[in-house]
Amino acid sequence: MNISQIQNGLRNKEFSATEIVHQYLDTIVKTDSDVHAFLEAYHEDAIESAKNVDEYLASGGEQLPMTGVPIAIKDNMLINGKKTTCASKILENYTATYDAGVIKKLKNQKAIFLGKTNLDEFAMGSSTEFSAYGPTKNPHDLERVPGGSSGGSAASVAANMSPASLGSDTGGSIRQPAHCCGVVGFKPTYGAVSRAGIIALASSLDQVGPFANTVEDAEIVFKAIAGKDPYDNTSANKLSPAVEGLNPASLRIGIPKEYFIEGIEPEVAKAIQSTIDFYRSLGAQIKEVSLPHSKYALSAYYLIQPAEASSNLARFDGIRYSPVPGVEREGLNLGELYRQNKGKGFGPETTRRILLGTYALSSGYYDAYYKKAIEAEEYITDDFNKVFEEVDVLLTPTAPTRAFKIGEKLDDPLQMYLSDIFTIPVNLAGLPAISIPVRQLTELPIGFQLIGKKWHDLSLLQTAQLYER
Amino acid sequence: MSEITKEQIEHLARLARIELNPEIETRLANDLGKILDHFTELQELPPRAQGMLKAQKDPLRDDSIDLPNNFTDSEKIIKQFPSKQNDQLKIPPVFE
Repeated sequence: MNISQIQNGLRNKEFSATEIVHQYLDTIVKTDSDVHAFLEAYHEDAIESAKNVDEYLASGGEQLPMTGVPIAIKDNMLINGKKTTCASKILENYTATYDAGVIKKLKNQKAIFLGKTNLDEFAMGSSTEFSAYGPTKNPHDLERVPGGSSGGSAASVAANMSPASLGSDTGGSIRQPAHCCGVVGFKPTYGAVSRAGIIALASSLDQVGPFANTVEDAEIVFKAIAGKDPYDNTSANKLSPAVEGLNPASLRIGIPKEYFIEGIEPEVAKAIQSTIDFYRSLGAQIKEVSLPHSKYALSAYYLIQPAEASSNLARFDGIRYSPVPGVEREGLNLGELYRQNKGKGFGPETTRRILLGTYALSSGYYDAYYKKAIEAEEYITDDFNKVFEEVDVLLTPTAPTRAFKIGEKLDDPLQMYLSDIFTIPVNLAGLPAISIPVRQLTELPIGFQLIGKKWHDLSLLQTAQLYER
Repeated sequence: MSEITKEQIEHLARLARIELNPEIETRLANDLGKILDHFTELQELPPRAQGMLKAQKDPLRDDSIDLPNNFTDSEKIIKQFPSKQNDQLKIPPVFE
């Protein structure tokens, strides 16, 4: 069901919020033993919240866009009183002590939380296989990955276990799983949505955004969570308004030639061509453009992100945020206790990136690696600024291949990193971008990506909606 | 290929305070070598005249002190301490 259908049904009293929530919880019970999108489903709390919404609406309470709408939340976002594990053993026993900014906003609208979804540990990965609590499966083919890191959030929507969900996107973690699972995934402009209460991966790149069945639904959720939060100094109210009466014939769409590389699956290339043809048929002007520094994005990202992660994750020492299971404290000095907690608490990919980040920032390597990566980020941002003088949006594939088999890339980090090759540059430049499912051509979903100008999230969503109509 | 030795991995693990077993150390040395090899392409880029962080170039707000610290729910945090004494976090001694 779409959010707008839920809104209308509640407004016209066709069904109650309790009935809707029961329906989704029943689907979770039936489906999630196969898919494993959820780390925890809030069966009792969701029903309780729904009953409260029904009473509130019956007594004449104002129905806001997310009132009574069920939503699933990636387990790196704090909900007061609820376990928040980041899919890591090191936080297995941690209960959040306050609400994230986005959770506060959703609570203010009386949205209903269905539960916490699975992710790659600390949001590091492209397949959700690095969860300490087992992988999520792709609902379209249970032998394949749902993408990552927000794989649980994407799969929950794809399998109708939730009408919408929140994910976080540091290098593609919303858009790439949206592509793999055949749903809409939107990463807003950096700063459009509060990061307060989101367990930080790379603070200069992280951004929260929605998964949904349609662009319209993604926009409803986005508008509910967007805006300045006094607890996040990088958040701001700077969104440009949508374009009134958007005329497709006045759209200028750029196709960056560097995004059509060798190694793109032929099915993906064909699907993307079909979307270009669609926009051309609407009268949009299609123009080939160049982003010459894109090829450096992967290297820059996998230095900047681990560098920030190694610093952000230093706080998880098994002392300040609940104990790590399986660590015997007796007889250990402080240094030994830290090492034991982190050694047992962090999984393989998290450890790899912490060490990589530690290396990139360490004395003697800082100039050669981290500083160079920051320079590359600047070149990449300049490229985008330049092409956005000529075009309104960019159209690209979301990822080079469709969802791969579970285990296929697990032992080859570089191959796994390549899954994000088309999404990473967007985070480095802080831009908004959305992955939209291409109308079905093959049994496995394929998404295409639209990239917008900074703070032009609403007109980007308008352009995306043209495809859905 | 960029050579990363097991000794370098041990050094990084010490800096990051992570206990690693020898098998993982060998695998990480191999992985990091390959990954760093890929990064050498960044050396092709000419240096920027003035390296500035994004936050400096494009500030999202003016500096100001505008947030009261009104967190009153310390009990929930204290409850999760792995070890405590009189509501204070207890840790092993730093110096023996």
